[in-house]
Amino acid sequence: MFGAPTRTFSVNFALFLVALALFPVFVRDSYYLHVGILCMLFASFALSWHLVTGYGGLKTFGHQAFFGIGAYFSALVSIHFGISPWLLLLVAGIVAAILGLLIATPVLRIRSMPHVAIVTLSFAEIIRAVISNWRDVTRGELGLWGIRTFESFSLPLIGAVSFTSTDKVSFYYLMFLLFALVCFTVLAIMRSQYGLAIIAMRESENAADSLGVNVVKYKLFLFALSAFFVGVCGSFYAHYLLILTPSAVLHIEVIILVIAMTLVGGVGTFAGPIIGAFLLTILGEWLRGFGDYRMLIYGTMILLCVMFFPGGVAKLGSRLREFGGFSARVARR
Amino acid sequence: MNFGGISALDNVSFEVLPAQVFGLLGPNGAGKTTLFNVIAGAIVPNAGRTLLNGEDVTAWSPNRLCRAGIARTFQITQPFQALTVEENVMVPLCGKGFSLSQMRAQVGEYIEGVGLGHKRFALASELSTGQRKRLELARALATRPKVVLLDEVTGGVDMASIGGLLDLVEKLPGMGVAVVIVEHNMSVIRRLADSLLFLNRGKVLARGKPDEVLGHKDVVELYLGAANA
Ligand SMILES: Nc1ncnc2c1ncn2[C@@H]1O[C@H](COP(=O)(O)OP(=O)(O)OP(=O)(O)O)[C@@H](O)[C@H]1O
Ligand SMILES: [Mg+2]
Repeated sequence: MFGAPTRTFSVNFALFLVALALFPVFVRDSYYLHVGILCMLFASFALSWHLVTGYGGLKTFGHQAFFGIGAYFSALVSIHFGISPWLLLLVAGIVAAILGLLIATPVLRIRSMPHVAIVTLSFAEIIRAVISNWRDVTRGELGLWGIRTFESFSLPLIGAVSFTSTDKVSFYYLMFLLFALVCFTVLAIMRSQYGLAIIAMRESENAADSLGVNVVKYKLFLFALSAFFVGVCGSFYAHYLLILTPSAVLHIEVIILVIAMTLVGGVGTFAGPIIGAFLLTILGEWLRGFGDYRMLIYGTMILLCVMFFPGGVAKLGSRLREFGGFSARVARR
Repeated sequence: MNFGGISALDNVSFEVLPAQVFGLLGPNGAGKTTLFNVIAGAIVPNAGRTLLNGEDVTAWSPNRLCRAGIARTFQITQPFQALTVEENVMVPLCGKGFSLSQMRAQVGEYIEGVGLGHKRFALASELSTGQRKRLELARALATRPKVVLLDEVTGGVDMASIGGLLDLVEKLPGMGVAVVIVEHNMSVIRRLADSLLFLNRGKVLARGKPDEVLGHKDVVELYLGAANA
């Protein structure tokens, strides 16, 4: 069903976005806004990773590198050169995209997916090791401080929009816009004939290649676009939290979390990574009260979810399936 | 073409003219599929060349060769399982400047042509072996090829549908398409092929008009002998 979205999908997706947009109107508590921001941040990350892996079929495990590079690049340039974080959001995305192209080049030659996973993971580990050990510049695990935040501006009707740690509303809406951008880009691609070619490539690379699909071009495009979005997310994260450590943004746990979100939500569907990111982020926050047991409960729940709903939550109820819209079917193999 | 120590193709050369059906025969493991893989760019040969209208196209990527006019079907079918039959056949039209609805309209003739009209909106994963073979043919033809390489496209197709399939293949030369066909069914070969090449262990055993090749002493012994015995 490439082409126009179904009515049900459009309605559900629109309601979801409206609910997100109205959330700060009713909830002013900055902790809840923070959780909302994290939900949308991880949903954007998961959607971008899923673009390459769920749709493109390239099993990459190194996307934390793009997140970390986006974050550290943006933070360091803002600290040392005083460049505006607004500009850096874009530049960090471009830097991550270039890095994405660099890592995609060797990956293109590898047909075996376990090898693709290992190569991308190793690449991310190298980036992490460099940033951890380059203490003169990054301060390693001590944490990078003094990152600039977004400059305030004023809008007609709304007035001054400022980004301070006490008022999370502006950050919330900025993240909301980034999330919407990722959603609409992914939808636009996957509903077009390019989406058709991408799914064909996932289903049989040899056949797609023999039918004129330039598989090299598509793989590079997917990698670059996905890395771009994840880099932008990393940049946002840096200028939002204002402190970075390699273990927070570059650790393998980051990508494991994103993969868990996608699996729990449903691979191959549009709604899956979003639902998974919201569920696991909220669950993770809720489990904070359980102290050390948190990771144990968290891990068990992910395991149970993957074991008992192999298709993911997005394919559970019929309403949710409708929300998954066109792509629930695409996931069936 | 070598695989390790095995010489899968050794000094095999042939020419296919437009509007001609060229049959490729040989026992299992003779190198027929390997020859198709070389021509279609799926594997790069250690030596030898492929010329298309005089241009050297050796070692081009499969998608570039497809755009240049070489299409192929796979002996072991490779359907896009998660896509419908219609979407499968639309893939060759991606990025050619058509809208999705134009693409949908255009693929109808190929889907009907191979007799899959009733399966148009079925997922490819739901097709039988014979239907998958027909889908392979429809997809290859949707690339609007100059040369089409058919690797046992009648394999597994039921008797009732073979006729329609052959009618379709028979029309291709009339449209100026050169057809290379690998086929184990002798009646199909006799009906379609203008000339034949018989391969054995990567070497040419016989070539020429169908009657000459099928009557060749070594061919009879190797291939038909087993069937007649
Ligand atoms: N990728 C490969 N690696 C190693 N050997 C291969 C490879 N592909 C084919 N071969 C070998 O090359 C030889 C020719 O195989 P090919 O598939 O071309 O035969 P064929 O004529 O198509 O046979 P069939 O009638 O069974 O389809 C065989 O000995 C086969 O085992
Ligand atoms: Mg073969």
